[in-house]
Amino acid sequence: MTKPLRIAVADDEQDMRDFFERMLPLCGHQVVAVAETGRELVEHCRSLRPDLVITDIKMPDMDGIEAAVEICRERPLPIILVSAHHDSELIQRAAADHIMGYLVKPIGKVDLDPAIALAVRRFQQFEAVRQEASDLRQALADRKIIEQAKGVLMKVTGADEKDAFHRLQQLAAERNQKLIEAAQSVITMEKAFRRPDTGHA
Amino acid sequence: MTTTELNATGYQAFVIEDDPDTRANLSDILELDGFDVSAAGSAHEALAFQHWQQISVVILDRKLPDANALELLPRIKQLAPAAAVVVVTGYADLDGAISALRYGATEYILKPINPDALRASLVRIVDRLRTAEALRESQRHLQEQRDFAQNVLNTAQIIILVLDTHGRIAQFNPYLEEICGYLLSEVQGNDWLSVFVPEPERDSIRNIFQHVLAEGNIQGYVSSILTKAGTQRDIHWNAQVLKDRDQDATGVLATGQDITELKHAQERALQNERLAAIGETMAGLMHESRNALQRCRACLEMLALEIADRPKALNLVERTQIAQNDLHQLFEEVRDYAAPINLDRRLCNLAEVWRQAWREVSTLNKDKHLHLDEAVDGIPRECRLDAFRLRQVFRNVFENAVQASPEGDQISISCKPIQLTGKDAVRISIRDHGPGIPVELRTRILEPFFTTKAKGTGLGLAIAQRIVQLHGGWIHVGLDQQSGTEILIDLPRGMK
Repeated sequence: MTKPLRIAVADDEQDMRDFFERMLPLCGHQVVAVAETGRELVEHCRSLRPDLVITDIKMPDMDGIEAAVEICRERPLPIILVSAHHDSELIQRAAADHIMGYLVKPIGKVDLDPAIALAVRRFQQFEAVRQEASDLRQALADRKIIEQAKGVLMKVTGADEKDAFHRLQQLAAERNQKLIEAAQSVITMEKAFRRPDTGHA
Repeated sequence: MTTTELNATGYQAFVIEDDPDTRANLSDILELDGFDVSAAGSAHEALAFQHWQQISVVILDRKLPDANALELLPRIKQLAPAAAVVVVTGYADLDGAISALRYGATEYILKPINPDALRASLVRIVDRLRTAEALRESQRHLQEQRDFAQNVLNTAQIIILVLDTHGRIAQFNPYLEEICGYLLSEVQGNDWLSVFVPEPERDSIRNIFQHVLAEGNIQGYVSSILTKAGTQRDIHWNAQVLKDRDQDATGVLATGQDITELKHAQERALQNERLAAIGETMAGLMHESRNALQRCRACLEMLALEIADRPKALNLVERTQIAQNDLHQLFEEVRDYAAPINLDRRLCNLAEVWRQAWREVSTLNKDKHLHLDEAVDGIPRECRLDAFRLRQVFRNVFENAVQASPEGDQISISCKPIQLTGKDAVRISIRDHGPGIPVELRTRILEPFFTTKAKGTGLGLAIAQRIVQLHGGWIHVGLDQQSGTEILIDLPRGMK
């Protein structure tokens, strides 16, 4: 079973709100917010920071998909849509980020467990991929700075590329820094020593 | 004036007379009667005349300076064959006048000319001319009508049929030949009922035929005819009795319009109209029904928790839940049948589509231990079809076959290439070996809401038919005498 989650639900039908409040605890989760409209859901999510959202689509004032987009803009979290509609236009809109499940009414308690487990899992994978992408971007940026620092060292000391890199590593080790930090120091120093009249080192 | 009034307006006369006074006199009389008159003073001058074609009456003097009438007559007959020639002669020359008549003159009159006698001749001549013209006119008219009738008979896109009083085929037109596939010569003299009328309709058509013989006619009767190929066409008939001069019936003339396509088109249009109307309301209805069913289910599940310690009450909740699920399924099926379908055609392997469908159906019916026997050698593998929708088609057809099959039996599927309205297509046959369906019900199983099963909406095959028709094909029921039921799916491959 999925680890206990703090869940926010939204549906304009009283029966459905009661149903979620009654059934989700039986699945081992806690219902932290119950909303009647999309706007209400967005506000609850802002203040109560749930782990997961289950929402109807058609609701007064703001529909479930708009609410989902707004919630995720503030803080990404997994969202499951539950709707009596399944026309292609809605499904296309629901293809937005963070919609991790789409259940067509009528649903029962048996449908909730797998949908929640799947949504959480997908969300984790999604977040992992995002993290990975962000790490890769960072690594690429770091690499550029390290290359630049290497260039500086080669020019100043006359060392070849391998020696320059080795020197950078040593520098980082001596000062108990990361390689990227050492590289940044080298570039800063190089700028400090650059003669102002030439513009170029 | 003793003679009949004469009005010769529109006719041209030609006077050939050497004596100028007589010529002027004759011309005056003729002009007074309305003739358009030309004149000549000699045979030579007459033969040089340019407008012989228009001449209706020639007044010819017996004796001309350069020729006599007997010499001139044959030439005149050549130049104006239809013209009437009046020979003018003296008493002394009666014999010559008579021989003139023999040579083709129409009348003769004596000199000196008595205007009344001349007019009497002219009246006779004009009468004859008029009669001849009227006769020619009516003959032409008759011929035109005959040509027209023959033309109608040959080209009419309507059946024209003549039966004798015993109901034997006397005559029919090329259009019926085209429709029924028989040549008139093949079936002439045969009994109409036994060749053309499907067995179940024979009694009623026999009654209709007797009615027409007795009462004279019938209008707007619709019945079927059998073609040589064994298919049926729906014909809208009008019939009336044919009688001879003594008012005795000699046969029946029937005209018929082939309304087969019209009937089908009307049925299809009606069906589409109905579907569109249902389809429009269906989206809204489905949303509301799903919401309502959702609330029922939510409340039932909560109720079950409240009464968890009361098994009898729980059992009732469960049964309510099952009934509600059935209702839900019914709604979904009606939606499938009526809601608009947009095909998503992609390249696919047809055999894989039905195998997938079979896996789904056989998993749900594990306890029956059925096998699918495939005979699909040499079928075109690639098709451009909506695999998702077709899977539903196969599922629905398999579902019926499974229901009809005894435990441990097998269901056969075979597939062969065919041509469907000039396109590459396949014919898939799915046969069970169950009790089969009575012949009279076979075509009805494709109708919506028709079912031979105790349960079910009767929409399964209708939905399948709709999907296949959207693909440009159709589903029909095998009509052979083998055991079980055979469903045939004719499906264009959808390849360019």
